[in-house]
Amino acid sequence: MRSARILIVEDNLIVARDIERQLMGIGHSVVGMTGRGEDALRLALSTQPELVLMDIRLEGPVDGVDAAEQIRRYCHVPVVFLTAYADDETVRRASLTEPFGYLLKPFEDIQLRTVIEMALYKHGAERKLRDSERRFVTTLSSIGDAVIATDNQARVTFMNPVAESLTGWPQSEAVGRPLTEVFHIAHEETRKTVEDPAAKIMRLGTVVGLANHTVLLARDGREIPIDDCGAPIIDDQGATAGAVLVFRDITQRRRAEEALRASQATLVHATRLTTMGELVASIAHELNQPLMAIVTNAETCLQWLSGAKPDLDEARKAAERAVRNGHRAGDVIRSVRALVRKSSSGMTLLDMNGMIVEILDLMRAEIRRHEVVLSTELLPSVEPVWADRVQIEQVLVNLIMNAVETMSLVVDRPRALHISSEGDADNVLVAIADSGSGIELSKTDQIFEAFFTTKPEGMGMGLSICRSILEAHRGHIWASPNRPHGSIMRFTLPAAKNGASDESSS
Amino acid sequence: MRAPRSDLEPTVVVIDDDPDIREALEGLMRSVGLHVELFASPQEFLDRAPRISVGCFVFDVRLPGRSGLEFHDDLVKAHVQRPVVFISGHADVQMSVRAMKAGAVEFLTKPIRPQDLLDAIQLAIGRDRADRDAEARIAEIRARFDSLTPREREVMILVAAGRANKQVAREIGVSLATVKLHRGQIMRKTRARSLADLVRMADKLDLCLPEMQD
Repeated sequence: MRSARILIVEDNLIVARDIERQLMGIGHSVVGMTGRGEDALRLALSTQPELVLMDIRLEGPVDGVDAAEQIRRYCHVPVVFLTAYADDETVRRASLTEPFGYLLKPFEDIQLRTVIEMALYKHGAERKLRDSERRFVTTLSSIGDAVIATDNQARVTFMNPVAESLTGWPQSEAVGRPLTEVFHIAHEETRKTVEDPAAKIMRLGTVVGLANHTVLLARDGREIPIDDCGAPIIDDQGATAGAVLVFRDITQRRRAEEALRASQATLVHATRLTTMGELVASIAHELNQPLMAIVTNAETCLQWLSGAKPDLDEARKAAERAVRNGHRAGDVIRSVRALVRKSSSGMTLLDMNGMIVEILDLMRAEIRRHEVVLSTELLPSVEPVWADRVQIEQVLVNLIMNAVETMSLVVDRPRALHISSEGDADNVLVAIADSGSGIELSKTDQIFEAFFTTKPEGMGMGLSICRSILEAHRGHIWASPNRPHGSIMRFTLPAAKNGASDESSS
Repeated sequence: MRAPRSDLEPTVVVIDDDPDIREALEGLMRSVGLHVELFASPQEFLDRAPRISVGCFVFDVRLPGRSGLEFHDDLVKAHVQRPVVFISGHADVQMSVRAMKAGAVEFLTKPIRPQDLLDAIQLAIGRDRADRDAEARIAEIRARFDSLTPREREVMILVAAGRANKQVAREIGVSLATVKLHRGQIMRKTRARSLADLVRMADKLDLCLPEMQD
């Protein structure tokens, strides 16, 4: 039995001394003694006992029960009441102070010892529980996800700060309310209210994930898309004591997914317009419509003018229609010009390695779809270059797609695409190697000419445009065979020297 | 629908999603005296369901909602087709072959020479007129056939199959005189002027004639 520091509050001095002797005989120490309730709290604060023995009935303005209440509130020290006799009212009041035991005077040593031990044990256990709870609450409060716990009636028992901020309900107001009031969720599109997740968890008795496309309707009207799961809380007896729900705001994730999709769409579009053939076909189609209208209306005008009785009014109307159609053709040309302008963005300082990585990210799905194995070796010695971002992107996309497509017929060996970069103070060199069918040595120059193509549907403009772009940047591009199979396309760009360009960087 | 008469004013039905083209085509048709109905999509045509006596269609092969070729198939299946002139912004050999095989009158690529279009339309209307006339004649013959009594029909079929009166009498179990009586009625009601006429009518009506017996 451990020795405890005990405070005695007993107004009968003789009884008090007796108790003191008993305590010391057991092995405890008495840190203070008083007969007045009004002094008890002060004494408890100054002596910091581990336990207080309090006579229920004390003379004076503050009786034992009041003193015990004060001590409970301010000191968190267990109080054991000593009582010779107490009426019902006193006992009732005494219970409210949550004492740790009663001792009926006169008491034997053994009773004293037992009650004190039990009281200290119980107090210790309670303190451990409080510490444990505090640790849980701290943990739950500090994790980044929102946590809500409920009892087995689906009423909120706990909310961490993230849950408070997402739902708009402070814990103090949420506790006790039904979960659905605080955690109001609906399906994003149909707007149908989703089943109370706590009820579902307790019904199924297992971990449950919410359906996709769920939005949380916060108290202030905000709608937050969330992702979540929940689990039942099982008590010691194996019964369901409640549920705990963990959820997070996925707005950022959604935005990232959208941005990725948008970039991929832009890349696909840009890839398609990379070849002149595509651009021309698109312009031709757009212009065909107004052209046909013009010719038809002009013919109509002539029809009205020929014949025995020309109808001038109708002829004029037809001619006016033709003029309108002509304006529309002009609009088509204007928009094509804008499209062409979009294909050049102006010169800036470019990080080639960074750009290669970005483009590969966007093309990864396409590369994988063709079952091509990608490897890269981008050296840090690569200096920034001064170039037009959109145009260099086009070069990279073109070369990568060519490599991927040339390997689409390869079946007896791995389809390997290797992209590397290196540089010195003056130049950056990028190489794109494939394991395809390769280029005949005699043709390694010819492939860069306009209209040269080995693809049945190709127009042969891609490499010629790449060369034009690179040479306009004072770079070079050339092809050589890859061993044992395939080709390597290499290009260089001059490094941007400090202050080398007069143009202001954008 | 009342029986179509091919001397009525022909109508050209134009389906194209480009409003400028629709407007231009309408102007052109009117300038040569053709009546035209305009629609922006197959669905609009189906919704308004204009009654056309004789005429033709002019479609773009690329139409909102349904390809021009598929729409043509739908019309054929529903027995409301008219001769079609296809117009297209894309010169696609495969597509044009498919269109012609499906019975299109012509397949023109934009920008279309107005005279080519007018020629194709005239061809289509001519074809439609001929189709309508043939239909009308057959309907007429069918009406006359339907006016025969069941027994008269029996006799007509046997006579058209080449049976002599005596054989007919024996086969259906009546007297020779009765057969001759029936024959008289048949010739009167069908307005056939000879046995050959009768045989031709049976042919046009696609009647199933029994084999010659020995």
